[in-house]
Amino acid sequence: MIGAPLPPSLSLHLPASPLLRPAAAAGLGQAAHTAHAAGWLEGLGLNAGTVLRADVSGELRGLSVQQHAERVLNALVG
Amino acid sequence: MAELLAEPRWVQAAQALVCGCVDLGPGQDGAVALMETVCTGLGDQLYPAFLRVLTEINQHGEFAARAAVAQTLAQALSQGRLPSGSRAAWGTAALGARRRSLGPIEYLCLAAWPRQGPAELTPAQFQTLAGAVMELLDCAPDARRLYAGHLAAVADDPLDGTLPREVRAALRELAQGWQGQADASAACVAFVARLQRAAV
Repeated sequence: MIGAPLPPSLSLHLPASPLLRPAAAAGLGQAAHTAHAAGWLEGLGLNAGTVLRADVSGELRGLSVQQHAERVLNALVG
Repeated sequence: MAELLAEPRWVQAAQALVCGCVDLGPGQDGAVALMETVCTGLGDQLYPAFLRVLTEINQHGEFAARAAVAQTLAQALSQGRLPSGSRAAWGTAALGARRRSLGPIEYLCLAAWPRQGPAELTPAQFQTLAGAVMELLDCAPDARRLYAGHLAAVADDPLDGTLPREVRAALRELAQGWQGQADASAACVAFVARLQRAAV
């Protein structure tokens, strides 16, 4: 349906960065922008009351760079 | 290519990045490599997700958590290894265009540029995101001076085609304002106002 909200994941399937709006493709850029905003900006400013600690639990100590990176990425991408 | 989860666990990702920076040593080479590895894993299209994680850390992190990440960002900047997202030069075709890596703040500045319709970030979104990254950097000694100098250098780079003239002028003003004011959000507000004036 024209004008229907785009699914949050749509921007991830576009071949070029959804933040780009080349002069020759302004329409595509605008659609991408809508989808893009729905993805990574959704819920911005929420999670009130959450506190991120600087403590590192025992099982996480001594992990490699790659292992720490995978923990971050696993929470974001599939 | 990585795809953002339908419901990304932002807080969990932010806590994992904090843990990694603390465990690998805030500002140490391993922590810088961690940020690089995360951004590589996300790819250019999902680089904004890294910026969202930084925002979550600033909004919800205790000081030690924010400081660990800020020290790592400052060290990365001083080594020329700032976690960056690549974007094409403006006005060029998307595929095969000349590209340049932009660090967190300058990336957000370009996304706030309202050319040919609404900007990709609303003024409120830009102020939330850029203000958060700037506040986060203030948790590390000297990071503000370092990064503001970096922004001024980016704005003054005559060979760079990534940032249009209007954004470069506003970026220069943002850098000066950030250095001169205690409150980073005031510099963000001025940046948005300058861009909006230029777009009229």
